[in-house]
Amino acid sequence: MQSGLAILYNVHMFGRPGLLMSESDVKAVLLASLVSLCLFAAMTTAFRFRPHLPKALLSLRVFYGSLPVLLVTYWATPADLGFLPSEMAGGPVWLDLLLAVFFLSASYFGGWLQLYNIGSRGYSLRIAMDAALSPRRSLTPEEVLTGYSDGHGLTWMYDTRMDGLRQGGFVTDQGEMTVLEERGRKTAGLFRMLRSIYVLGKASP
Amino acid sequence: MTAQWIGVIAATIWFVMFMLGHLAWVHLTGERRFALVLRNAFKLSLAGCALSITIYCGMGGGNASMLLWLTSMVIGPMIMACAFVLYIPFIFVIATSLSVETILMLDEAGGTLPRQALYDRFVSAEAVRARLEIMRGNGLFTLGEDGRYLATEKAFPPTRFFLAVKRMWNLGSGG
Repeated sequence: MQSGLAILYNVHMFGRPGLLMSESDVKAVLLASLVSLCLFAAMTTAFRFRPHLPKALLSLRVFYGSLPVLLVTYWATPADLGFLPSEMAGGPVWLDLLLAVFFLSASYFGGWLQLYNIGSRGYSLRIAMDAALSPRRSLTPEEVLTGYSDGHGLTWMYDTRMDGLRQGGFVTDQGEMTVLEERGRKTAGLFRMLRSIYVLGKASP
Repeated sequence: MTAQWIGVIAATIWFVMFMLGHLAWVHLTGERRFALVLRNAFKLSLAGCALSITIYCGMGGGNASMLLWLTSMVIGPMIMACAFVLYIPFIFVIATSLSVETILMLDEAGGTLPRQALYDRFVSAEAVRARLEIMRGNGLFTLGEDGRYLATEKAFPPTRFFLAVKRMWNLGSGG
């Protein structure tokens, strides 16, 4: 009981403030930004030195690895980080930690992972790249069909999407037919509802 | 109230306002340029967040309130920006994903289709033309008289940037 209260209130427990005591209001922002940059560097290193491993999974593991790094860094550094004005101390530690985890997660899921997704799977971006890299800086739809992504062609691109749907258990093949599974049907219902909420018509194929 | 709480409360309220606002905007006006609506609604909400923080902190007065305002102005808009970068990919999956479109097409057809029908729809010159037309609408291409889509200057910075990302991360040709 006493140690529980100490965790919450004791300013000097292990030289750290308790969970309800205050840290600097911007410590979460600064530490999450710093760890996010380290996360980016670690992802880059992993992608370059482990080129044959699935990159999305690899990056997710690096992200999970960065969470304890953030927490340890948080507890190991002073409230003012050694340079922040002492007047900036304010909010409770639990809120500061929650914000730090939120900022780091957003930088990964909304930043680094999206950069990877667009760079590796962006359909429109790849078309723009093919055009920009072509001698005449232009393309016809027929040329995209056969020359998409350095000559892989659009069939290859759609094969990768269909493989993803099969591996995810959304569709199966039965001879020449493609069959929507229960999981796919539920997903279709969900996306139809979302499209009506967001007033989105059919996507351009 | 501390700067963290001011930032969290202002950002939460204004992000909910942003989500409700852009939905109301498209439902009431029938505006089809969804990206434009998102961008404008977010700008307005961000301004609302900053204004709310300024008004709240301004009521305190003095130097302490100046520091409170400054810190809240870092935390509040940063929470909104983080929520925005998480929200946008979600919207674009709903709007543009080929996998989602394939599942919907199968569901509308009763759950079964010849594989060739899917490839006819998604792997065709017409499908590519539709995508190129969207990109032309966004100013990334112009259409020449010879039927060729010419990349504009606007298309080059993002392609250069992502080519560098691909090289740095060994992503291959991708797409």
